[in-house]
Amino acid sequence: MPDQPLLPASNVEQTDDALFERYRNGDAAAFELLLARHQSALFGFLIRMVGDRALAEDLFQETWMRVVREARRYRAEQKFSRWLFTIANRLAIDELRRRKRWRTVSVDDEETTVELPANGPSAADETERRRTLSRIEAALATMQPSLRQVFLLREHSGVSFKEIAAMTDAPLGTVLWRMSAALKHLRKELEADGIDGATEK
Amino acid sequence: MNCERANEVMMLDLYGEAAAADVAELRTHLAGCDACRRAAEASREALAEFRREATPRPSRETVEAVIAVAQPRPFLGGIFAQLRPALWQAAAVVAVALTVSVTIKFWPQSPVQLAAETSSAVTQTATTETSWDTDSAALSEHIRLAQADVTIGSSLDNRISGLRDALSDLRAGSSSF
Repeated sequence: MPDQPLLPASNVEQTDDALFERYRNGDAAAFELLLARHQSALFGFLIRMVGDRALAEDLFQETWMRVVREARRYRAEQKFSRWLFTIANRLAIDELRRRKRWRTVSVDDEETTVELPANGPSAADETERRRTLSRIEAALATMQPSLRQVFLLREHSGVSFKEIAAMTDAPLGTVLWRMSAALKHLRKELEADGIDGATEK
Repeated sequence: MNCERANEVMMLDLYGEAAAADVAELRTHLAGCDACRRAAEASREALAEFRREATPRPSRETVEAVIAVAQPRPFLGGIFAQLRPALWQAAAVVAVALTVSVTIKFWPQSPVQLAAETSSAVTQTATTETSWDTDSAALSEHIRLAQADVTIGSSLDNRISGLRDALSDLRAGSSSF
């Protein structure tokens, strides 16, 4: 059964801050626009950060609950996406510290709703997609959390390296080094898997 | 530009954050450094591979739960939210009043206290003077009454003396019978 869209199409004309201000003044529809705009990036960050769909769903809810709860404390100069991902990052790191492990659970299970190209993938494309996805999951699973954190924050949140340095309380040089090391690790894992794949064929 | 700096600028350039001058320097460096050029190409390929993957999305139930949490507060909550500024103002007024009261009470030789003490002293002096006036009048009255009593007493003494004389006369007369 095809899902009806729960959320309205994101309104690109209004900034995050303008929407959040509307929400603070009691406009629930503005909140739904914000949620629609950020849900995919935020959930992608969380699920790849903790490697567990159920936990990522919990953290996703908790992040938005804190946004609602602390709405009055938000200041526009913070930039909404940075604030949102700061909350999410803190929750994810706390959870990882608590569990002290990274569960390698497929994010591509049957419950997953995935954004696919509009014209629809062929069976071969789908097989390749799943294969690449599992390679990326494996690469993220073996990546050091501090590297994974910087890589995912930059990829999903859209905040700059300088802002990530502030969010993670690390010098900019360290953040750039972590990003470079994360890409090197990803590249190495993908190349290794590619060689295995060629051998299997 | 050395390889370490080239690597930093490379990361910034992947996301369009590098300054134009740094990018120009990086290109010059990459033209002469095979290791950095290969690293730059590999980084771009890995990133492209990662980005080809579809982004997972939260379940419908999770999104519904978030929307439910974000709904405007119920009626009483709304009223409280509207009253809250007024409550804060009232609390501020009470706090200021308390501060002023405590300051006046405990501030040594505060002007208000001095004024109150002076006023009290003046009132007390006035009261004392009034009391003296009252006492003086009362004393005069007592003296007047006492003098009246003395007058009455003298009169009574005269009468008693007359009666005693009369009684002596009567006794003398009865003995002559």
